[in-house]
Amino acid sequence: MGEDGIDGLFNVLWRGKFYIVLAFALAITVAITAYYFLDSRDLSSRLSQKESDYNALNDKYNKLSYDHSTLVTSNDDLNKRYTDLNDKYNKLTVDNQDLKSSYDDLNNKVNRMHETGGPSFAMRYSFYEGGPSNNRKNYLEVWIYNVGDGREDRVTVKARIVNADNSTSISEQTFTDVDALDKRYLKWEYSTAVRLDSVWYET
Amino acid sequence: MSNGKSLGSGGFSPSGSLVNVAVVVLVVLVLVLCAGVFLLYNQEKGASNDAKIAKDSYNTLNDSYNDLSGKYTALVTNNADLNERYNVLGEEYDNVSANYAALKNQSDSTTVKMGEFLESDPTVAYCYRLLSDTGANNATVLQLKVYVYNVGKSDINNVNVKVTIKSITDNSTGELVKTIPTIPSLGKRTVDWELDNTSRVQSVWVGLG
Repeated sequence: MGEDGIDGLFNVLWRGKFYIVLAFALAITVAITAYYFLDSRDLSSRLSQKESDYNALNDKYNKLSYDHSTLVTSNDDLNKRYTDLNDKYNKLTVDNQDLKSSYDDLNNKVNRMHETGGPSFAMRYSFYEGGPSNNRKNYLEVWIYNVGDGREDRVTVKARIVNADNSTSISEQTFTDVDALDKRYLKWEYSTAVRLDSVWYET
Repeated sequence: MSNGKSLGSGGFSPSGSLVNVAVVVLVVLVLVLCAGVFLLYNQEKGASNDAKIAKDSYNTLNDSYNDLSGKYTALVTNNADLNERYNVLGEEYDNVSANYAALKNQSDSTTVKMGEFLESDPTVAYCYRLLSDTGANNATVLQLKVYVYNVGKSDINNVNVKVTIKSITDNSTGELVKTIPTIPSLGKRTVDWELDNTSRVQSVWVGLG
């Protein structure tokens, strides 16, 4: 009875082997389909995530690219302005040195002539006969120069004249506020009978 | 009595027909699933390829981004440095410019003043001082110093300095002459004489030779 039972089961299985294979094939295909389906969904999800990352990075790249381009333009502009300013600075420095050199030269010349310690005067004059033939006159022109390094509040130029009768008279004119490196001029008119004795100044 | 198969087991039966239908359906289902698997396999293969391409593109873009980011950072540093140097240079330029303007103002002022002060023609102006001094043997001597200034714009040569003196003992007069070879513009020269205490200076005259 036992052996008969096992044989019977085998017989049954053997008779139904086609169904078993079919069921097995069905199970395998279902499993593979499920596997691929799930994997496909996972892959699709990862691909979608990757695309999203790519787009985000691309946006960042584009923004950075724009910022970079803007900064390159700004940098080029700044570089040009720097070069221009540097050229101007170099030219101005040279001009400044030239000007300082010539100004120092001029100052040195002035200082060599300047008398130190306050105002100091030098003078020149010219006494001559002139005017139309029917109205001749003697003229005295005086120039007085402050060759000192200070200002003089008051300086008086005087001239002693000898008249026709041998009497003398003094002409005088006062100048005020004569700065260093300043000069004054005066002109007196006399008859042709007078002679010039002397010219001087007083401070 | 029969030795053949019975009709019941070898002929058509409703239950056998259902089994056959089920078998056909299952076979069709297996085939459909196989086709589905094939399609999914192909799809996944394509998707894997796309994923690889996407990954490569992402990596390439990432490399470009990192490269650009490095350049951008370097440029930002360079720009900041340049900007600072520009500002420093600007300040220096302003300082030099202010100095130049002040110096130009002073220089122009002095030049104008000198232009007004100096005569166009060769001109000398002068002054003199008489100083009393003790000479040899304790004798009193007079020292005459004549200061001659070239107040013209050009150098001048041969400037004569003439002094007329008069003796108080015999009323005789005499003339002392010295010639200065050259005086540059804005230059000055000093000429001096030592006179004894019996002499008096009558006049001092300076003129071009």
